[in-house]
Amino acid sequence: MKKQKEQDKILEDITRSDYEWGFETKVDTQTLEKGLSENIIRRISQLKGEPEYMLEFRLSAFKKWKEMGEPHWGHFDYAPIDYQDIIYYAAPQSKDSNPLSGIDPDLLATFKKLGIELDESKELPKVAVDAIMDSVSVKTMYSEQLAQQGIIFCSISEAIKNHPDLIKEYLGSVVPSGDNYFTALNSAVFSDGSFVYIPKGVRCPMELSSYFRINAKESGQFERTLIIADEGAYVSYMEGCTAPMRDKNQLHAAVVEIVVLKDAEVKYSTVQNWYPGDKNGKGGIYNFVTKRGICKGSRAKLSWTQVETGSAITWKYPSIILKGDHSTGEFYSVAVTNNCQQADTGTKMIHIGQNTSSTIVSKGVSAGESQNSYRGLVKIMPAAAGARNFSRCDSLLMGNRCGAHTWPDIQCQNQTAIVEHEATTSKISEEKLFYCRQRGLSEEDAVSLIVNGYAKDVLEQLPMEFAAEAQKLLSVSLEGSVG
Amino acid sequence: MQNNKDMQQWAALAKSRMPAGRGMFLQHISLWRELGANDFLQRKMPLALTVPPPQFHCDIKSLDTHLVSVCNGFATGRAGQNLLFPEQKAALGDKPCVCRLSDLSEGERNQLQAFFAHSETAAKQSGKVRRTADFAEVRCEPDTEDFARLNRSFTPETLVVYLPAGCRLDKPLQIVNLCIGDEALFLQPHCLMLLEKGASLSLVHCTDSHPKADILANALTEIRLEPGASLEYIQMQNVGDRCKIFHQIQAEVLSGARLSLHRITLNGGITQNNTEVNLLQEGARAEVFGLYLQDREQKTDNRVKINHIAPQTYSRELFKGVMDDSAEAYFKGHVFVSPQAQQTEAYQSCRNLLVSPKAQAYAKPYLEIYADDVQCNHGVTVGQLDEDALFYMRCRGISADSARRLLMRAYADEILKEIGVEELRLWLTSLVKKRFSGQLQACQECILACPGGEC
Repeated sequence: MKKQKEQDKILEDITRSDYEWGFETKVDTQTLEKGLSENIIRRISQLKGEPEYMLEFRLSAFKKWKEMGEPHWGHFDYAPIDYQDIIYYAAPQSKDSNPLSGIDPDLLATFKKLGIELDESKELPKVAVDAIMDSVSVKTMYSEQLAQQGIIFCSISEAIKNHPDLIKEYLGSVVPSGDNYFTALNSAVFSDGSFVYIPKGVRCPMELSSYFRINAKESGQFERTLIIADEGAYVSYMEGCTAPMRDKNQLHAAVVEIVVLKDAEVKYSTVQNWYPGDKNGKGGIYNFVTKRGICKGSRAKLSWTQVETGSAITWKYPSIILKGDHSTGEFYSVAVTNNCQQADTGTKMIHIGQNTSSTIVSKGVSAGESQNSYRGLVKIMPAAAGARNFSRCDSLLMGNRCGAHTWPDIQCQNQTAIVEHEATTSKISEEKLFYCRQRGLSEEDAVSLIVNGYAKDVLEQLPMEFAAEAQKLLSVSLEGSVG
Repeated sequence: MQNNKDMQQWAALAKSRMPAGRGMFLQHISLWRELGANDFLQRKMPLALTVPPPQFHCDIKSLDTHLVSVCNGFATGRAGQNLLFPEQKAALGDKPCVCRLSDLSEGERNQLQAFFAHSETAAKQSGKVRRTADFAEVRCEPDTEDFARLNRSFTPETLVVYLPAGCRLDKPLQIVNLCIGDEALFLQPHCLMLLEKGASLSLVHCTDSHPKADILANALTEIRLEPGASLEYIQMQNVGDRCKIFHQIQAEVLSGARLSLHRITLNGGITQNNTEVNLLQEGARAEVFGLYLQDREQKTDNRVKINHIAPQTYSRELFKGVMDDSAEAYFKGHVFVSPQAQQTEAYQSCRNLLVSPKAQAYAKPYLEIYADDVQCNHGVTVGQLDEDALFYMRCRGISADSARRLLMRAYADEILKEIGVEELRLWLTSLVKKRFSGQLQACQECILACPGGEC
């Protein structure tokens, strides 16, 4: 009995931790008034100086949004969102720009504090970052250098102005604006985001990355990312995000679209670390994100890797449409929920082409009073002869007040396809703990070691630059006062 | 039809609940769709047994059972009779009894119904944002709850199976459900099954129909196993292609009791088997097996919800199917583990074999877990016969066809071998063999009176 209590205490200590990215930057912010209307959308479009076709795109999405209802099939419990009580546009105003880089030193300092070095002169590992604060892109690094190879890496606002052909062809082609409630909302009000185009046969020489930061109060963030990998191209893309600690929930509804053409490969990695709210579930980001990619040509490959540790609510299903023959889709995910966090995340693999294959590895860890769900779809269409899917989703429960759920959906319409799904749910076994303890590890180190080992399959898929961060994040999410 | 007005209301309700279109996640087989269909109100609901039931011979000669015949949901036999022992009167005493609910005295009726008291749960409001506290509560699917209500309010006759404490029958009980009639019928058979402390029963439940019969059935079987009771329930469905059978089994299993349920679907136009098992006290165990062999345009839907309410409960599900031609199979398993149900073990598995280009399989294996000290896993596969095994057999001179059949039989055997009634197991094994070799089609015309034996 005593041992049980001790263990509970250790678990509690381990699972309690603080959010170290919760500071706020004091910068002047230009905001539009709260609320959503056609007028606001027109003004966003005007502020960004967009061409007419974008305004039409936005308004038609807004029309669809008005006719839709918020989806409630997720395993969530949250207070209703008042969409008229959100600021849809907030842009940090530069006071005195740094003469060298043209960026407000306050913003530079903010990103530095977050571990993002926006100074290109520093010879650090080459990662090109597109830093986005609230509704605007602050800086996109190495744009010129990349442009020499024909790679376009810029904010989506610039792309709308400078590359209208690509935008017209691909924006909304994977995630149509009326796909769901949140994509319609995003399509209507999206403010900024990243745009990547890798031309034929080019292997992007460095990791590309965007960093999203919500800073302004009571605003929402609605960014849009579009990545196009032309035939035979390769790119590895990373995404990170944080937000200040606030009592009030903030909405984040992003859309990511990826188009992978013949023989191309895209690797998309996310470390999601939005503010999760405090111990009692007050505050935190509502994260309603639609991410989808299409393997358009044969032998295309798309891989999603995600480490989800933040957000009060995570509603996110990075999906892959495997249209090209022999194309490959991968989904690796670690979702850690603690305190009152709720995550409902998973993937959709839609096999259309012949001999397409997909792999799903999902690892959930729930602690505190959190709820963690895996929800996934594997659909084999009648034409997908020889399709192959393997899914594995495991859940780990820490403490008896949390929940871990698995909601898979398997649809097979082709005789020659092979689909396998496996899942397990359990707690950290006494035997494993005992074994570690015998070898001189403290109980908390043992728990941390076991969790890290459990998530290893996914962590090793992350790019080098990210893996260290993710590992640290994972231990911070679970470790705490013990030391 | 005197209930016509009420039925019209149900039909109207069904129209509003009908799943629209064939979207990515939508439900394909639904009683709502059948009730909302235009021909539904033309179906007759028999209120009493009007046609003389045919003399029934079981085609499993070696199977020695206590036989109870039911025709279109009505038990055959004199009023007031214990159908198990014709010389006795129907009563819930110290003797086992199978009878109509209406044959019992009022006191006994109330006594029995108290066991199956249901709090009419308010239909869940869809689209409502839920609270955390709601999550960890067992919620029945609102649809199944509605269909049970529909059955309870319109069933013309309830069959009672009762075993007193410690009772064990000398041989299995066999209930044969025949569906006959030249007209389109809507049947709502209802059965209450109560096994008192430590009682034990093997039940063989066959549902057969005339090959041309046009039946829509919304059947409900309610089972309660008192502490230490044990029930082996083997259900065989072999009905005509025009029959649409929706059969729901709701079971409550108390401490140390054991339920073993086999749902074997051999033939049927649309078959939906809904199983809900509540493991209410410590040590309750449930095993649910399913085998479905579908061809032509048949559709099956197996739904299993297992609620682990108490600690140290155990459940296992194993469903296997073979889909040929344009057959479609759906499986939805849902294991729910409540916060109190520590040390739960739950295993769920569904395996599908697609043997024709147009066959389809869909599976949703759900786990919903609120307790940490549990061992739960699930697995789903959809695939074909093992090429290597086929090659191996062909190398040894077995024709491709025989090799395929052999493998399919081996595949089905994993379910059949769990059946405890030996004669039945042997017969089913041979039936499955015939089915895979295509001989059954030929015998189908005489399924009710086939002399049986090895073909």
